[in-house]
Amino acid sequence: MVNITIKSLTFGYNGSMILDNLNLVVEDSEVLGLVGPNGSGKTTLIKCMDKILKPKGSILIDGRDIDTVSRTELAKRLGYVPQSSSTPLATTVFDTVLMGRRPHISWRVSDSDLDKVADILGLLHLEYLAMRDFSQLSGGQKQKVLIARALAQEPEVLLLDEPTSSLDMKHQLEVMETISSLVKEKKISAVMALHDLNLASMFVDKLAILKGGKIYAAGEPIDLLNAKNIRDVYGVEAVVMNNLDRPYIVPLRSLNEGVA
Amino acid sequence: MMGSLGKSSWEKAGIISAILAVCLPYLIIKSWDINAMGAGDETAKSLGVNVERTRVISMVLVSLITASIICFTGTIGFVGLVAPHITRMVIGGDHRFLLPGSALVGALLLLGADTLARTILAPVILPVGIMTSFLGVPFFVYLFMKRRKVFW
Repeated sequence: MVNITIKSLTFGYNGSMILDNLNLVVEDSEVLGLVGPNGSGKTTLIKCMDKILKPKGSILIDGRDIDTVSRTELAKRLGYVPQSSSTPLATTVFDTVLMGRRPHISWRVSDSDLDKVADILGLLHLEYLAMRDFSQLSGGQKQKVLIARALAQEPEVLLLDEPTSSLDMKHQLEVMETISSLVKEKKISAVMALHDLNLASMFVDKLAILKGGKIYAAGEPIDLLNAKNIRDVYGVEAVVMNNLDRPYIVPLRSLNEGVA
Repeated sequence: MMGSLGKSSWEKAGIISAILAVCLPYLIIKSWDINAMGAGDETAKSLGVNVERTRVISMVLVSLITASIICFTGTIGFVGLVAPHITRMVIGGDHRFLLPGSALVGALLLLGADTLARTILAPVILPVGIMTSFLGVPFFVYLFMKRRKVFW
């Protein structure tokens, strides 16, 4: 059971603001989706939460500022899943996942560490890939291996950076189903940056819409995904339909100011 | 110009060994961190590695080891290039085994090259750097042609 409170978070590179006085709360066992246009700060926010970037403002995990928590301690609580395309690894799938045990081991790998890695590979149906080279996997397989590595950290919160980008339809669903069943089974939380609003609508419990480094709105997907919000945030005219009691967004055209 | 083992003495070997004995254990203990850094700084940070500190300390120690050897032998090329690559090809990229393995392979390589250099035109002793270059240059060309896209 974990609570992450983000207070007046501000981050920028060379004068350009990416996160601007952002406030957000992540609560127990939920899937929180971060959506918003490119450059709205989704990825940056996730990296700040895992102390990869050092922002101004504070991020509290169960009331403790993460600046006062050591990296190793934080790695036992938060598991970060990077985008698969940006991760060079010249080793086997098993060793990649074993790397996730790093916060728990010093040098020697115990039998229980190996068992845990084997269990996690089984849980995600990756046993048959264990001895393959990470670099030879397909995009969907890589993404699952990176999720497995984060799980090997035994975290309370998974932080995922666009886990479905560059995957086909089936693999997008597979990855999202994997994440949401893990959240339920292991009673952990997941915070993920997403581009596909319809995937978000299907799989997240709560949604936070980012615009210009601020939270534009946060709440249940059904309350937030409407034509007005999509026009305001994305500049896109869209029709929102109902699909199995979930909003389903059909984009129609982009609204470019100044273009007839 | 060319380094050699001709002026070595037990005293000098002792100094080098002492420095190595102090530095190498730290690097081996930090093997997991170095493995994680191979997957990128972000990944390493997310796995709990203090990337900046580990990098600076490793660099200082590696420079110290290299400098202390070079200052007694002079430059003997290609050992440092060939040994880690051969070791990596045989046992893979896990630094827990790669670091001590490379040290061992490098030592054997230099010993072999020095033995050849002393016997091949005996009683003339060739500089050992010539022997390591005979092995190193073709290996370097091979690496350049074949493995350009593999990282490291």
